[in-house]
Amino acid sequence: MSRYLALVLLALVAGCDSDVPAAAADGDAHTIWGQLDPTQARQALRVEPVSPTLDGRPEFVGRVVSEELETGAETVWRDSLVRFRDGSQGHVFLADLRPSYGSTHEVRVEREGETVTYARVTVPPRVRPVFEPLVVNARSHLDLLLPGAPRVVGARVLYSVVNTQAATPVGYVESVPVEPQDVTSIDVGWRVQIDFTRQVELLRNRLRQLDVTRFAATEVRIVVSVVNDEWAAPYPFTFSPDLVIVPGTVSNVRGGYGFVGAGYTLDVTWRATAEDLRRLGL
Amino acid sequence: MERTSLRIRRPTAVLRVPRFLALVALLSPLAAAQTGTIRGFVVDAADGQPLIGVNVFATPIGGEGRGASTDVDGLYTIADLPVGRYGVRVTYVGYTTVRDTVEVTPGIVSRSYEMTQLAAELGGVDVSAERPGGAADVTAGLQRIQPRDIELVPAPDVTGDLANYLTTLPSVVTSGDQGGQLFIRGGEPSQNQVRLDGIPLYQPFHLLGFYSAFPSDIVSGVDFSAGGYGARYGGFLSSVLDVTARTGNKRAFEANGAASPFMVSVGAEGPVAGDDVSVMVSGRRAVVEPVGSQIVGRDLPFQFSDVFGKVHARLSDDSQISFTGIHTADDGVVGDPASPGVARLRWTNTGGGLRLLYLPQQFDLTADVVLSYSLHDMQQGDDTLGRASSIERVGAEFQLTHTTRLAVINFGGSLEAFSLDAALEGLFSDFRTDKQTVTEVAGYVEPEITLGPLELRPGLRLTTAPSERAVFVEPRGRAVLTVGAHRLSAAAGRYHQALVGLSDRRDATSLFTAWTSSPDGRTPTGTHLIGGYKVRPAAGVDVGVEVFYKTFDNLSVGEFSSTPAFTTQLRRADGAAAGGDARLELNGALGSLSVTYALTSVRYRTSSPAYTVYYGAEELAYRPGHDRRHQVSVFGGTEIRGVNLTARWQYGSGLPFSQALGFDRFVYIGDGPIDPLTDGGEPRVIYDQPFAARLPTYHRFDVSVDRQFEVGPATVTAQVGLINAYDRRNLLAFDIFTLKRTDQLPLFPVFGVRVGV
Repeated sequence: MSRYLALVLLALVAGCDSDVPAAAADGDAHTIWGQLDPTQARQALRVEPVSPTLDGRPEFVGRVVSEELETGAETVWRDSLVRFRDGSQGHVFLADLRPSYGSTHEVRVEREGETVTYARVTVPPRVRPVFEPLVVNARSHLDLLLPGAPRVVGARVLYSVVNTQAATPVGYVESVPVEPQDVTSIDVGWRVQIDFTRQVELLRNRLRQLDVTRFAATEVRIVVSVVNDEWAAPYPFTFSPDLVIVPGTVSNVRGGYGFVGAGYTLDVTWRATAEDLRRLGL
Repeated sequence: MERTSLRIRRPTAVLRVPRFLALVALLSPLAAAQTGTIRGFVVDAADGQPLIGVNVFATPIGGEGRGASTDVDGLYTIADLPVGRYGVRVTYVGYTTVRDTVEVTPGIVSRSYEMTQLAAELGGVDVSAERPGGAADVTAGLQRIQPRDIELVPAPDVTGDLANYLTTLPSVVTSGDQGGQLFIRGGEPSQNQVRLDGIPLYQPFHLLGFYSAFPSDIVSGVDFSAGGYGARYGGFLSSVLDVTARTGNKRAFEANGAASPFMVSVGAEGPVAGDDVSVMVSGRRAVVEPVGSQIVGRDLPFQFSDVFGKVHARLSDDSQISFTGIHTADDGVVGDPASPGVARLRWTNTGGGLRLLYLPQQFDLTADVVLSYSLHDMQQGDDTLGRASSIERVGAEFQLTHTTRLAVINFGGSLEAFSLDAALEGLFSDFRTDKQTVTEVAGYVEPEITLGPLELRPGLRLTTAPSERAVFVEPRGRAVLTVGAHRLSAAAGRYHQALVGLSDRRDATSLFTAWTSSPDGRTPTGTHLIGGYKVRPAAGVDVGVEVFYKTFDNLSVGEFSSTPAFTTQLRRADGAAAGGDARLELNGALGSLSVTYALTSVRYRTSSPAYTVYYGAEELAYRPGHDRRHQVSVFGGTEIRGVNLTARWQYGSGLPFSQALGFDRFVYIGDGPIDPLTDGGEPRVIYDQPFAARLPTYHRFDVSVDRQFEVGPATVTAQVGLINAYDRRNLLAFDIFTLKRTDQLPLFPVFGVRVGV
């Protein structure tokens, strides 16, 4: 019996590796951040290899290429070392490219002729916004329709106001965000509902902090980002940093991490009548 | 061959009986029946130490006899004997049998005995085959550990230590030879109740896993319950380690000193004022940092020490009192000091207790009263910026035991007051602690009923925590069926733990534990189910098998996030552990050998709507870092021409850890455009699923030889040995941020000497 026991022990010992399973980062996986903006003539993407260690900064080897799938037009992005706001440095790839509205692109990281990481992204079509009539009641609101928009994020209202209590009127521009639940998908696109009852209340509070109690609005603009469909909040209505930091949470990158979005900012002025503004308390 | 050696102690005093004891006794049928009780203590004649597990059998002339075994105090009670003359036989393996004649009269007859070691008298008689205890002698999770068991495991020191033995048990998982963390059948270290003479100790295991506050020199016996423990114990979810310290030599003075590359120790004991009072003191200090590190050429930044003292007095044949005091201190760094998050860790335990064992002369009742005080402090980091936690406890416990012919009825209670304080310094970003005071009042009843071969021990424990406005009703139960050489056993129970030890288990080197009441107000609870079978197929051969299932509800665990920060949030989790173990123990003329194997599965479940984002489902099931699936231990010893040889080989399958797939920088995606030209992002860990990967397997071989010499009046023990004899590179911790590993001890030659007079 002791002989068998010794054999078992020997087998156990011999079969034991003392090395820790290596981290999966092998240099092929890359993280890409950025977006394609049809309103800009130059595009920028942050691209870096996934590092096997926290403090490691592996060298980028290869190239970044984008291809417009409808036309087959290929663009090689150029590497640049950038110092960021926080003082750190990193590689940002630039391309003189203005993507067409509605076009689909594949952004690739290639090493030795092979694609190791890629993302496919469709640029949103050009959207022509339409205002619905203003509704004034206990919850006064204005609907902005964005037909054909794949998705809308970051809606906010910019109020240009003047301080009417001052001898010399002073102008202010205040941004009040639209609640995420008021930005909804509809059959033909997206609707941004501006809840003026709540908005004006928030605006008043902000101005009060600036010692402005009497004011008059001179302009009301609605700013939204029209983005591709993958640019979706991971959890109902929120882009909480705690959530979106989770790898893969908001990602269309294959063979790596990060997110390549597409979109543009739409800045729409609401031509309100003086009566509309008065009824809203603006 | 039996020799009779009779020393009988007569009653010397009767203490005043408290009223409540009298009331209890009045309820006893004993009061009116023409029966009597024989009871008393059995001690070793050589040093006056109580002998545990001695069989005392009383036989009437021409009739059938009855017997009892001595407990940790050497106390036996044979109740409800019809009056008359009895022949009493006192037997214990390795000791000469004691015979006596007792005239049983209505009431209590006190008879205490002293026994003489047989082997010492006859020049060595092998009794190892009959030796009780050992790794295989487990009854539904309960194992009685004796000092001799501890000495069988090779240690880096001439004197053994309970911690070193515990690591050989299949029910115990350690995270390595550093840190002093014991995970028992799925439970976490803070869920283990550790007591020394009734004094709770919160972290009595030293930084080096070979050592605890319990050197074998001070240990009389240990009841180790890996689960399913009885109603006497409460307040902890997983296990109980109940250590009884020796009472000290009441016959002669002894002193000893020992030194090794790991530790130096001194101890002394002896009688005071006759042979009824003894004093024992012991002190140890680690020297592994200045000495051991020179031998292996590696920093071993571990400093620890412990001092222990006990005064035991036999007030009369019916009462004993003891004072126990202990202090331990640890200071060191576990893991690579250069790694982020690895910091100096310090902790102390201070405990003191008074124990009164009182047997009223008029009644068949045993009263066991313990008053105790414990203080545990732990600090991580430096004095100004570090984390700190302290738990201070004052408690009073009593147990009354009444013995009848059919049952031994135990009932008792406790009153405990805790003062807690912790400064977590953001360890858990969603949880802050304040100074807290918690009180618990408990009562229990637990009869031991014997029905032929079947022993039943149903129990019920009621606990109320007025400060927490909670009441816990906890049924417990044990059953043992013994038929010939076969023994079947089972145990079950409900448990709660009002005070929890919070640890960030994301990192194996994160040993800091903060004691607090339950963070979310939900007290952790659990259920244990244990079944066992033990057989002795031949003399000297014991085989045991156990299976168990434990649940742990309302645990607080650290949440993994993708930010490589050293803070996290708490999440509620439920856990379950299941498994089994097989044990073989061989004892014979050639020596002894223990072989154990354990199969364990531990799983935690936690849920959060956010996990839908993280892991694709609201519920996350994972295996915590102590889920060691397979564990094998082989150890034993033999004596060859006066040289003792002990050896141990251990194997453990890899522990789970959370592997990083890599690291990158995260640029926030939100409600607006990303700006890659200005936003540098922040570091991010790309974790795989929590604890989804496994660390390498662990195995180690230790061997030690020692020999005793008589040098004048002194007994000198010299030891040489090898720890990690084949220099296995066992992992202690792996820093996933830097991919740096910290290994356990390498091949470590040890040599030591102990001198006793």
